[in-house]
Order: sequence, then structure tokens, then C-alpha cells
Amino acid sequence: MMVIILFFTQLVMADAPIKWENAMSIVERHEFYGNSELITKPKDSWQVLFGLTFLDASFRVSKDCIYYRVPGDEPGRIKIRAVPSDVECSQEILASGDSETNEISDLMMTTQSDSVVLEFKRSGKKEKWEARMTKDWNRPEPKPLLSSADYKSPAIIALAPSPETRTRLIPLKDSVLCHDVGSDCMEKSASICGDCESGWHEVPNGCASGPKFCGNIKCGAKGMPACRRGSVWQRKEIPRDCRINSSFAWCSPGLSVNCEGDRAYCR
Amino acid sequence: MNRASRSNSIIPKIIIFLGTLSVVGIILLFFRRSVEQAPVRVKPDTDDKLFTEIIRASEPALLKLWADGHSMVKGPVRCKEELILEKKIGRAYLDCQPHLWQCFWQGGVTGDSPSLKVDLFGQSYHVVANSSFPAIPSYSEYPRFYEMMKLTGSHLNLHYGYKIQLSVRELPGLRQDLLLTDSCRDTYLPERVYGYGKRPASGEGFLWDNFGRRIFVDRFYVTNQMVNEWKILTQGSINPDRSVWPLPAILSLTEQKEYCSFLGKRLLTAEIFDAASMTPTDFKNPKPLKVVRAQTPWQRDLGKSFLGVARINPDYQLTPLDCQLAQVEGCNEKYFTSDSASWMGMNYPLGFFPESLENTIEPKLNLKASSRFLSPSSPLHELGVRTHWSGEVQSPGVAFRCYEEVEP
Repeated sequence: MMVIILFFTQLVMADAPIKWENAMSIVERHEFYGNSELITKPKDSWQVLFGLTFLDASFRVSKDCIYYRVPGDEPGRIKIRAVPSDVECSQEILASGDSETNEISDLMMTTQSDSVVLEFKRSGKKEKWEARMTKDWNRPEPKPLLSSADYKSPAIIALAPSPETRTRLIPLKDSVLCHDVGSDCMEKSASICGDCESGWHEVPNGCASGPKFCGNIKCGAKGMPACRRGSVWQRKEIPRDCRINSSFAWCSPGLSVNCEGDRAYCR
Repeated sequence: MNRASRSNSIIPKIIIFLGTLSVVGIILLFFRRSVEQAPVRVKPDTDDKLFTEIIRASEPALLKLWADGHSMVKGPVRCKEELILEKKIGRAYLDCQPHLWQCFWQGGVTGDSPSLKVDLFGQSYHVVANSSFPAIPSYSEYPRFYEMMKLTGSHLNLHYGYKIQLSVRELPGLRQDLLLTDSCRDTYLPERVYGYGKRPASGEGFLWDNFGRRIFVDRFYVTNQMVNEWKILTQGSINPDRSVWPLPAILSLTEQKEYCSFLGKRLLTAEIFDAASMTPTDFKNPKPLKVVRAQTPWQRDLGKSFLGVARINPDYQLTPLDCQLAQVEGCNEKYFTSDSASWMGMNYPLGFFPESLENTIEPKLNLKASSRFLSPSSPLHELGVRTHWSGEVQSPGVAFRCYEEVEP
């Protein structure tokens, strides 16, 4: 009898997955559902509530998508599905969940910068699931004696268990354009150079941040991108046009800066 | 009678005064306590959550053990397979040192049953690392308390780290994997206008700047211990002589570049080396009108330093302070000493070992030749002075270090 009671208690009090204690960030939060508002529409449809990213024990970023089937003719359901971090939760909204919790009603969601809380009734009993972000970390301002490790990440990073399926390890190969910056110095796409297999290099174009490619090359050598020299050292405004003034870059002796578009190479 | 009545009238006043003082004191104490007790933390209702709270609370102690490892070692360590600490090895070697981490949890530092004590929710808990990673036979047969990880595609721009696993003695069965990063390795090169090479006879010479760039330079030479980890991860064979693990790794130029590249870094360049070595004249102005080339890291003019004096006086007797600044011929052999740190925290700008540098401005001048193998009177003991190295492994060996540029 005791065993049955314990089992029943466990079942009713089922908690959020333990890995939710070490989430990295909340992503793709449903834009229309307000904090602490009952979610009642659109009835009988699956909705993406939010995604949670984790750094797993294989050092891959994984993502849990949390879906909610809004109750209508049928009772509500919560579905959790792990997807690769580069896949939008909405793309897999109809796929089966890794875990599903049924008989859900009166669901409310509250998100803050460091946590997300789901409050709901399951079979008429109140439950509360909470996901907490690992230590709230902001990149420090660079200053003397700061290390690159401290600049890039917290000193200790909690890792979530590795999901067995549906994560991909995709380091970017050498020469892939990992940060696209236009000749107007505007970023065309966010940098993904952190995914490069063996570092990255910049092709200087006179901008504060030029286009970058994966791979560790020797700048200034023949056929290679020129080395970045900066523009401040000249102590005067120079036209930012490689063909007019390429002093923002340098090449090894015997070679000259050759402009291919706005990008400086050594020929 | 008068005296008695006067004393009678004072006593109530004193009582009232003391009473008021007590009441005010109690009120102040009450407010002070309420401010101190504001962040009341409730003990989690499940073991899983309690476990997470304990692991989070243990982070300061973990960081101290990892990044400030030297402070944990009060006496001799008892792990000959991991660490041989000779007098010539400075304590900075023990910071972010995986072999010390292994030694500590094997009981070689504090004795049997090491743990990190965490007081939380009115109770003491003991956080321990698990030896849940495979043994590395070339180190020892003992299972490891960490695993070296080459990180690729982690989206975090991290290239390397050490995976560990923690438990809490009072909550058996629960485990947490964590990643330790090497926050002791390098140091930031501030954004400034810098000069390359020795003091020019005329003009300003080669100037450059690193505004908008995040450059981090290794504080010390790459060691045999670091290269061993690279070899293990790339199926190579390690240097088994534990006594040389803290010493500079002697590799060919090609291997040096491969090592740095493996970590997403590059071999240090000549212009960055000069920037890291030559103390700016005006720290507050990163865009000075004139960029002065210092001849030594600690004296702008070489003539005022012991190296300048030694050039004039062949009988110059080196002092212990001289050898801390630049280990030259005649100094005792020492490693991981931080007394030679330059203005931005890079060690060994002059003396110590010959050092390999990538040089795209004067490609043939790729060696900082100033070293402990040259007499203090050598003209090579000067910042900006370089010679050529063929890139082959030779005696006495050429040390190297890496730098990393991180996206802003």
C-alpha cells in the first residue's frame, strides 16, 4: 500500500527535467503569451512556448523545445523535444516529443533573464516547473591581466547530460566565410567564427571589424590576406578605400598590398 | 539636604537617557539584522535541486583549487607520477594545472579523502571530484579526475578545456559534469598605438595599432606538459620525464605553429612581442604623438640597466634582482617566476630562453636571441633585436608561446 502511495505521489509530483537546472539561455519564447497569463488560445493547437539551450557533456550546444497543446476539445499537453541548436523549434512542432505530459490545464508561463517558470494543473493538481540559467554571466570589459578564457566564458561551465540523438557536431572547415562584413563595414550576418575548427583569420578591409574566414593562415605572405595594421596609428583620417589608401594593412617585404574589392591581399 | 535632592533629580534623568539610548540601539540593531538577513534562501525540496545548489555554492572553492592552485600547496606533494616540484619551478606552474588537480583528488596534497566543504542551509556538505575518466597510461594507471577536451563547434569560441565530474558526499548517486577553462594562461594586450623593432635612427619606424582587436598573449613559454596534452589528443608520444614537464617545450618551427593552431591560436609575432615588452611612456594616452621604443622592459634606456652596465664593465657581478628581471648567463636556472613580467603581464621579455617569433615585417629576424645562454654583456640583450632561426630543433633549444585573437 505504501509503495502504491509513494508511486502515486511521485507520479503527481513529477518535476521538470533535472537538466533544466543548468540551462544556458532561453530562446524562441512565444512572443504573444505574456508573463503569468493563462494560455487559452488558439485552442487544440500546438504552440512553441520556448526553447532552452544547454552545453552538453560532449561540448555541443543542444536545445530542448517546449511545446504546449492548448486545451480545447482535448486536454492540454506539454511536449519536450531535443533538437539541434541550429534548428528552429517551430520546424519540429509536429514531431513526437522525447517526453510528454498529459491532462494539463491552466498553464501560465513566466520568463525572466535567468529563469523560466511553468505553472499549471495536471489532473487538477497544481504543479510548477522551473528552469534556471547557469550563472548569469556577462562578457567583461577587456583590461590588463584579463585572460582570454575569462573574456570568453565563465571560468566554470556546467554541462547538461549528452542527449543520445539529434545533436550535430559541425565544426566549420578552413576557408569558410564565418563573419560576413560588407565594404560599408556593416555586418551582413552574425559571426559564427567560434565554430571554426582551428581558429579564424581576418581579411583587412579598413573597417573596425573586417570579414573573417575559418583557418589559421600566415598573413602577409604571397597570395595570403594582408596583415592588419589598424588606422589609428596614422593619427589622421584616411579615406577608407583600399585602392586609394591601403595603409591599414601590410605585406612581407617584396610583396605589395593588392586590393580585391575592398579586401587587402599580398601579391 | 540640598545635595540629596540634587542627586535625586539626576538619577531619573540618567535612567531616561540610558533607556532612550537602549531603545534607539535596539531599533538600529533590528534594522541592521533585517538588512543582513534579506536574501533568505529556502532549502530546495528535492535532492536534485539541493545538489545543484551545493555545486553552485562550491564554485568559489573550486576556482581557488583550480586557478589559484599554488595557494593550496602548503608542503610537499605526494604524487610523483603527476608533479615533481623542484626548487627551480615557480609556484605559478601550479595554477590551472591539471596534474595538481589530479594530485589533490588522489590525496597527494591534503591527505586521504579530500573534499571541498560547503556550508549551506545550516548544514555542511562535502563536494568531491570523481575519478570517472579513463586512465592515461603514459601518465599513470590511476583513473583520471579530469579529461582534456579539444572543443570544436561549441559555439562558445572555446578551443580547449578540462572536463570534470563532481558529487556531493551527502547526496550519493548524483553527479554533475563541468568544464574548467584555462584562465591562467594568457593576458590581454591593451588597445594602443605600438612600435615595432628597436629604436629607429630617424623617423618613427614601423607603427601599428590594435584598436578594435582583442589580443591575448601567453604569459609563459609553452611547456612540455602542455605539449604532452596536445600529443595525447593527437595520438603522439609524450615526454615521459616528469622533471622537464614544467620546462619550455623545444619543438621545430612547424610543430610550434601546429601546436598553437590546434588551440585556435597562433605563434607569437614579432610586432606583438615588442608591443607586450616595451613599456609605454604614457599609460593614459593610447594614441601618443610619439611612440618611444624602450630598450629593456624595465628601463627605457639600456645604459641605465644592469645589461648596459655589464656591457661597459666585463667584471659586473649579477645580483639576484638582475636574474629575476632577465635570466642571463650566470643566473640560476628558474622557471615560472613572474618577477620578469612586462607592463602588460608577459614574462621573459629579455633573457631566459631564445624565443621563436613569426615576423612578417622582417621575415628573417624570427628569433629573440636574448637568453640565459648569453653573457650579460651580449648586444643581443635588447628589445627589438632579433636574429634568424632556421626552424630546426637545435641545442640549446628555442622556446615559443602562442597568442590568440578573440572576436570583440
